[in-house]
Amino acid sequence: MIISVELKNFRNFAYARAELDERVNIVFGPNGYGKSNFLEALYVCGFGRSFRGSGQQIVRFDADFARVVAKNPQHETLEAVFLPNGAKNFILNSKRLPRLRDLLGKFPTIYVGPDEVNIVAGSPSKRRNFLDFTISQYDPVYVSELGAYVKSVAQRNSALRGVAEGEIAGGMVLIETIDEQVAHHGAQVLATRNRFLRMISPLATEIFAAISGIERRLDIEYLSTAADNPDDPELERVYFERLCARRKSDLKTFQTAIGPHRDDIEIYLGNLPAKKFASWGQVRMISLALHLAAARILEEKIGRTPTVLFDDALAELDPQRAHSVLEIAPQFGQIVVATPHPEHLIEDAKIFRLAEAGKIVEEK
Amino acid sequence: MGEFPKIHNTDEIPGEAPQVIENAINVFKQLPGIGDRTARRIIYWLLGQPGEKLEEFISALEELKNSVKICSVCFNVSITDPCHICANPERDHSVICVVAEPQDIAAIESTRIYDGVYHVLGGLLDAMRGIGPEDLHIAELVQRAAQPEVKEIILALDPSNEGETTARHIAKLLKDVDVKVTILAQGISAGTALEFADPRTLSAALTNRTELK
Ligand SMILES: [Zn+2]
Repeated sequence: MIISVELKNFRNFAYARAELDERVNIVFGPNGYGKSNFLEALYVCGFGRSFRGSGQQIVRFDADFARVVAKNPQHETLEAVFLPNGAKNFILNSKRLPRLRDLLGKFPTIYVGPDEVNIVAGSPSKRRNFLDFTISQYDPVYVSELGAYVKSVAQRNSALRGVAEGEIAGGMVLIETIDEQVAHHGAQVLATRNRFLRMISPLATEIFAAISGIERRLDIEYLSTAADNPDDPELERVYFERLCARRKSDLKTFQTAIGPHRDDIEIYLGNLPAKKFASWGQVRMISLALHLAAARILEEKIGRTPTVLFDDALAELDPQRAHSVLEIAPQFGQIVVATPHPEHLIEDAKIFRLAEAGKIVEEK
Repeated sequence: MGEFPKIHNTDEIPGEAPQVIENAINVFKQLPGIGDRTARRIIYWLLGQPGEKLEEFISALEELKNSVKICSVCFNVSITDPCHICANPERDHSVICVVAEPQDIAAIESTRIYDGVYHVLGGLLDAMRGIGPEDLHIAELVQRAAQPEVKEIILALDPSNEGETTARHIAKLLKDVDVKVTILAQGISAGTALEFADPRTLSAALTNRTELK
């Protein structure tokens, strides 16, 4: 939860300050005035980076730096500073955080943007991001294992190329060692993701019923490219053997074709794959239910109320649906909604209006 | 219009330092952690020193070149071969501590709790930089480990991805050798080079080393 936030030279905001409501906040204004930028500033406090590509400039045109200062109910003040050259710095209670990962879990955040609201049917990388971004906020071991996994795969790909081009002395033996390492870390990542899905499925089923009125079970299955059964007690060994079997073909592409970086999840609604059989509206409600369930898991694991950002994610829903989502959502976190038309959303929310580009005004 | 005397040597670009100075700067830039600006500062500082001072530097380097050898047993740098550690009968030759670089030996020696001998690999396995097993002194280590008097191999490598690969690789090669293989306990924070770990953390990690095999 964020109780107050201050922006300086952040995108189109020269200066802005807002005291947020602990339940529901609605930020509205015409497109291009900076609604998403405001949500981005809140997002940055959770993850230390933007939800937009890194190429775009966070620092306001011609300014020397951009700064976001946020306070949470735990009496922590986070200062995030961005320089035009891409450098950034995070200071928590006047102490510089040595690594970005030290920020995770301090301001737990769930982001639901246009891609996330379509997570059921969208690209597999979005579904992997959903797992990684949620789990990383409460499980530091997962952060280490995922980091070690990514590095090991990069080493493996280099070793494949080195061996194929005859540039690494003793390379074949080295690949076998790296395969063990990839399987070791990859199996941890896979098992943790699988445990998370086990946790989130019943929660998501309940929330989906509450916001859609449909009483059908949501089941989420982990589809691993590295093992047929993610519950296998011999997971690391099975994974290693499959990796070894892939070696010959991977030596042609210099790519590691299996593992958590290629895995996916399948979401079933009442035993049918939602991707194929759920309606357009159901797909959106399932996505929202998944994100709210993720917020509940964060709260249980960290003991802090997460901030849930709906970035234009409710705009496509019919007013009645959007209303019922917002009635239920505050049970799962502090809600911040960016929308072009606030009229029919909810009564007891704090309203912020973008009066002009880069200028935010509290309405009531 | 007056006549201007020619002040530039024709080989040199006006505004740049003479070529000899640029050459020296380029040599210093090769030192670890030294960039262009620092190299430049060092060279100009040296130029400001009296001649004896420069002689001191030159003879120190020359002495390094002429007297420092690589130990044929452990690949440590030393003025004798075998090095003073390998040649010391007081040290426990049944325990070999494996490190990546000679400077890691200094870090472990500073803990004063280790009295075994060492083995310097000369780096870590790193496919991204093209460093494979045959580029390091791994085969020599396996040979040493197979000697009957050797009881334990301690892997004291950086807690990095490359350190992990190297440790796994050595453990695998020693699978059928009758020797205990241990690894430094975690406690050294990930990303800290062994060379820079403080002695207290390092001695705790050394005492609590865990068995790898
Ligand atoms: Zn020696």
